[in-house]
Amino acid sequence: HFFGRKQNCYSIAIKYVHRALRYGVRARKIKKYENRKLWDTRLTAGCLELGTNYTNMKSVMDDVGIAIDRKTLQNMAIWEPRSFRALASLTKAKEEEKGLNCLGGPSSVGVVTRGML
Amino acid sequence: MTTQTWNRFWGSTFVKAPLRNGVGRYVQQLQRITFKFCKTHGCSQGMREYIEKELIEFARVNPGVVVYLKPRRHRSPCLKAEYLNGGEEYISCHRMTNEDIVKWVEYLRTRSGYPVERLRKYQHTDHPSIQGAWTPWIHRDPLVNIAEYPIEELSAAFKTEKTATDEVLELFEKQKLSGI
Repeated sequence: HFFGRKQNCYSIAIKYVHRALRYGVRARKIKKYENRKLWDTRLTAGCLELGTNYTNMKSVMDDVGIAIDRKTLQNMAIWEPRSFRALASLTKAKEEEKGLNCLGGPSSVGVVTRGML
Repeated sequence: MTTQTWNRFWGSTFVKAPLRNGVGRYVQQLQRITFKFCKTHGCSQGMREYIEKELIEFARVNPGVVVYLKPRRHRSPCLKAEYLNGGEEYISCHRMTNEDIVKWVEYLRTRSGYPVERLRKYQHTDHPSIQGAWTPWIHRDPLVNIAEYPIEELSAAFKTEKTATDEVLELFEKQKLSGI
């Protein structure tokens, strides 16, 4: 992928080859960071289309105990959209109960207070 | 030569099988093997031993592989394998023992013809989707297909919070239920 003298003459090429190798080493860390950002973007887009948001989905999945990572989740959103829709409707059902997106706080369904609180 | 240099400059591929080999039946990809050796020099001693003891068994077990023997004076022994998709492998057997050659022949037998390259991903699928890939209409109501525009509901503004009207209506409903 070098052009002109950079691909044919050794003493010029070696400098650019060393730079390419340095970029390769640095990029290994960056790739993980960039990929994660991309997955986050895709998942926010998918959630907004379905009427929830990404933070709520993360929170609800934590609560319920579904441990699907971002990579598989974004693959689901792209290639298995109906399964992803099922997860989104789960978040919509659970976010009210948990008290996300509202001023009231968590609902008291299933909490026995006996008038003490 | 480090593995890093090798991987960077000698290419990278995705996982593939020639003509989707293992999916249906498995066909051995090795087409022919050539054993080149010297009849007298000591470097071919292992190769000569292999030819005397193991080669006939190998040829009998693999009837689809053509075996060639090339006795050449003053030449190092080597194995040359050619595959059904046109790929080739060359292995020098200089001063190798019988057992080593057995293992290398087994290695060549199980290769596909593709060259050795770094794999970018360890999986490949022709059918990544079972439910069908995402389209812009997959999560929308299919009534939109037969609708006559303009539609008031779809042109209305998105409701993000409860409006004052909604709250009043709710209070009214609650009062009705509690019987006031």
